[in-house]
Amino acid sequence: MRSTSEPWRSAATVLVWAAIWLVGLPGAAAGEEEPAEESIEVELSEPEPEALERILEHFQFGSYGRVPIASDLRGGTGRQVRLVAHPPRLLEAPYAEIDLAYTHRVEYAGPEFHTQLTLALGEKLFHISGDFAADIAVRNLYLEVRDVLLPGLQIWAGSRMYRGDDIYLLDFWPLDEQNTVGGGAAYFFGPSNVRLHVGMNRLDDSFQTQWISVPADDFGAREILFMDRQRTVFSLRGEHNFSLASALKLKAVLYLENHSLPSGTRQTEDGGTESLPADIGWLLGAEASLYGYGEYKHINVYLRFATGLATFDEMGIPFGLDRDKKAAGARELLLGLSGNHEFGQTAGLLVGAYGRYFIDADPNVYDRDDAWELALAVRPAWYISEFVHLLAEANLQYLRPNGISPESGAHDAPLAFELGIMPAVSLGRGSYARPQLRLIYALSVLNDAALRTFAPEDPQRAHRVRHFLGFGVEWWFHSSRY
Amino acid sequence: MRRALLAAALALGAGACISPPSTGELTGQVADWRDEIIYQVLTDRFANGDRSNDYRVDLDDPSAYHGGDWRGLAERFDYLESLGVTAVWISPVVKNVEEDAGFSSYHGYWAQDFTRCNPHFGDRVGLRELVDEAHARGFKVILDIVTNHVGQAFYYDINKNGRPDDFLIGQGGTIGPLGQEQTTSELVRITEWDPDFDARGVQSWTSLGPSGEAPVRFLREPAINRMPPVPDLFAHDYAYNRKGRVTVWTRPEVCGCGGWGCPWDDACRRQQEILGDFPGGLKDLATERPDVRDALFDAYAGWIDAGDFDGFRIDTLKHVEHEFWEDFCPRIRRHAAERGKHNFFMFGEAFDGDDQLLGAYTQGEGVDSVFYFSQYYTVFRGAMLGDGSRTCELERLHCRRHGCESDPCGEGQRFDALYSGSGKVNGQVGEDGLALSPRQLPVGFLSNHDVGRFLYFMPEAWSQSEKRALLHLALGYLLSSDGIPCLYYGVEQEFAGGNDPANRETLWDKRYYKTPVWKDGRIQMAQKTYDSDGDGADDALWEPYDTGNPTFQYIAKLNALRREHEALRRGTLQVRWSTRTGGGEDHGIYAFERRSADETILVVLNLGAESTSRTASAGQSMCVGFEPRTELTDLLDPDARYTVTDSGCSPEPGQGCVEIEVAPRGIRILAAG
Repeated sequence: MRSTSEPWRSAATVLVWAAIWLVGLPGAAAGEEEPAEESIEVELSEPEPEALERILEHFQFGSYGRVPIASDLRGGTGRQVRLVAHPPRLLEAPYAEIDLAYTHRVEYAGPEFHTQLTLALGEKLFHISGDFAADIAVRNLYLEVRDVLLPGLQIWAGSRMYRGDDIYLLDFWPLDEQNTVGGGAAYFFGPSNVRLHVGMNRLDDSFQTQWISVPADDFGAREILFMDRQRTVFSLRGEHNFSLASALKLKAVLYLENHSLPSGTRQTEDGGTESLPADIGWLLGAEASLYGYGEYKHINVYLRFATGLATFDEMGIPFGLDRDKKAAGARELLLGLSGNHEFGQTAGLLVGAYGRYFIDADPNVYDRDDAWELALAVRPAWYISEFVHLLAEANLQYLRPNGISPESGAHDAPLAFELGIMPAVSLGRGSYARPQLRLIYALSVLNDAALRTFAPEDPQRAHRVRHFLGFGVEWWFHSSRY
Repeated sequence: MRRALLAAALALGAGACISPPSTGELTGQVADWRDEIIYQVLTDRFANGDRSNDYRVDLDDPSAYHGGDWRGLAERFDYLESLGVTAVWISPVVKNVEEDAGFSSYHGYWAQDFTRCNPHFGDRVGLRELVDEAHARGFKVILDIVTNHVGQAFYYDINKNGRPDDFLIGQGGTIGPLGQEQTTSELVRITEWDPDFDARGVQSWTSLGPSGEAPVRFLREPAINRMPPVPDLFAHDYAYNRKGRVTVWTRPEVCGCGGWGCPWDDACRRQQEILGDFPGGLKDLATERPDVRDALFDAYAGWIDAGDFDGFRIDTLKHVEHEFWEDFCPRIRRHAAERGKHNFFMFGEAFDGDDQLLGAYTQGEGVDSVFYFSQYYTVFRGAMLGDGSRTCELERLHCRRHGCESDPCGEGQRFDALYSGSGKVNGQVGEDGLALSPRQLPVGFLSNHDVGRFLYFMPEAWSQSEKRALLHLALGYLLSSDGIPCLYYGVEQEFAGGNDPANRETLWDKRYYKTPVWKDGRIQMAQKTYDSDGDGADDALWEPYDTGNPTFQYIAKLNALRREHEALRRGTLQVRWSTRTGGGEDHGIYAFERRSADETILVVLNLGAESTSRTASAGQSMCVGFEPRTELTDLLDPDARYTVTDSGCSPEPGQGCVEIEVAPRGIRILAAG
């Protein structure tokens, strides 16, 4: 849903600009879930000195958030069914982001310095658990300088979510999504742009990091960093927007990603050492997007092929390694789709889907890590009035591992269907109109194989048919740019 | 003001330029080890001079560190000087496994890193400062070393589950109703920390039975420094014998003996002692391997270089094969000599009263001497605590060391000298440049950290004065005999602790200076007192490090005599009187002469507890190496004087006869004049 049309902006323009004049210059912002904005072609004349002062320097607050709560009508908590890597998001866990940004433009046409801090709050809610604590993560902490050296050139460095377009209904960025500490540059020229990024991470897991305790010089112990393997992620993205007709545009994207990991040595439990080899992986992707033909309307198609280390995203820990403990033989092929259509002021239809085939690097071609998976979600909406909508959703998840189930002794194919209906109150019409408050009822049906994905001891295994009744809210405004 | 600021700046500047003391220069310190009086300290228990290294200190726990350190020892050299000792034996200095099974390594015998200092005691600079200060004050320093084992560094994974277990297998006993019992499997306890000795190597065990040698798994517990030992060689299983714990001492039947008293050279027992782990899970190094020998030599030669030590006390001597000592000792002597340190003295601890065993270690090029356990058992734990009726046993002790043609006890034995009478290459020499043999250098002791204190073994019913009299008799014997006397710290404060750890008292802890008294209708602990002026009334409080108490003063007096009289230090020893039976006028008498080129000292002891005895029997008096008409004066009691006569015995030329009276548990040390 990243690719969106121009017209929707007209409906929100009043609100956006009201906010702008309250807090300053607009940030071309998009929240974690917010439909990304294309370059906003706003005609600005030279402002008056007093207004210029506000334009040159301003502070900006933004946020994304969602809070669902549901009952399973058995006295328990309504929970999302997860069979595939990116299941439909009808009932996702709570999540929020707080964006704090400061922008300073040297002069009206000069370079702009934008400092961004995004704090993310995990799903822990005190009012649910009674635990007065929260999981907080820093998801953006960077400085971006725009229009430096030449107009349209942006450079940045820091810790950043670096993303392209997503499949909203699956909460999934199928092509480009990076979470690293690094830097990058983007150059916008006419209908085209090129983006380059180099980032690093060192996840706190036994594949990349190992702290060990050693005796202190005198008494007791101290910790030392024994294994320190930084993964380096390089990405290059080229985009061109073709004008096919007066309002119809085609966005074409080519994307290249490289992951590399140096060799390392880690200590084994018995005090010995184990060598881990250097590893590498490549990802090649493409995206085609039609937009511009109506408010909120777009169709995006994604294709990607990844090898080796790149089949595991930058936050993933490689598994199913080969005899050399490398991911070299891993492969992934993915085809994704997202789209939205608005039927005038009356209705909308949001669609998201992906299919993926993954094989790991180990020599066993019949293991359960190697699998096909498919997720599909369709969400029609009826705009009863400007603010009152009736939404429905149908989705399915399908998983087909190459290996046989140890329980059934057969090729299991877990499958889950879900139907939901959501009366909602939104700030305006449109599938992406937010904030939105929903009353949610959903019915899920799982086949036997899907039930077997739960541990035998898990009470969830007993429930082939599940109900969810609850509320959900979701908003975004001025949230961070990608 | 300006001047003060300048001075402060200079002081700070000087502080920034502080350099550690030299660690390069070594010096030879000892003219003749027979001149030395060793004082053994448990470093952790002697004096606490640096609170900054008091880690996990607990004075209420006898098995915990108590805070003693090298700085504390150095600060108490005045005390040692007052006592009159000349050499200090300190605990092992190497870094230890901190604790095991709730006990700490305050004693220093659980080595983990042979190259680093035990931080509880100080650092390398502090160690060198201690030795330098000692040398400046005229003290020698002996380092306690261990080559037999390391601390609890690994476990035997007997059940191969990858973790250390202590488990029971089998059901044990019988089951079933009375009259219909069925025998069940034997109940067996297996501890992977310290399993019993198995000549094949500790065996793995599964439900199917033995399954080959158990793998060794080193532990990594940095918080207590239970880490693979250093040097790196010691972090490999092949550096260890891996046979399990020595069991023959408590179960002699495992070596075919029906009870206590298996001969020391029994192959089975010796195999266990040499190859087995020392009880407590102390893992036995494979000292027969050349690389292990090299590593141990490198480590301890390094400590000589770093610490300028004057000798080694070697732990667990009999747990290492003779061949090791024939390799290690000459290399150490050569290393020390190459660095200008001559008379580097090595004496070993073979915890055994068998002179044949002890003497065996003095042969060849092994240790210079041994810790004189046979004397300890024969004299201090035997004769002195007995009724004094057969002092010929003391003479026999002497015979086993030097050899005797006839049996002092008249039972027909001939005694071969069991201790080497030859010097070693680069070995001990006297001030006259002549080689000294192990026979001349046994290190005698009244107690040490492995046995209860001498006072502990006296009957509780004895009065304080009775106990003190016997303690003084023992000290008198120790400090007038040949060899090198060794005093265990605290004896001068009349500590009376029993076996380990009770015999490892904290010298500065006031609780050890208290005694129970009946007061206000109940027993209370009151500070001990003593008579400081000899008027019969206690008039002084007994404080830690007290130098005025009767035993401290008595030891100081004996030490002074030993220093003043070469014959007591370097003289030969000839027994002049011993008894084969008790009850006569010479009951309990044991007399010997110490003779040097210029002087003869006569020492007469009465080991009897009941009556004054004399050096005479059946009309015959004692023949001595003094000319007739020589006046003899008791150096401990100048009022006691005796005249040597020419009758009453059968003197040879240059000899005379004398009858010396000695009170019960008394001693006279007599010199002409």
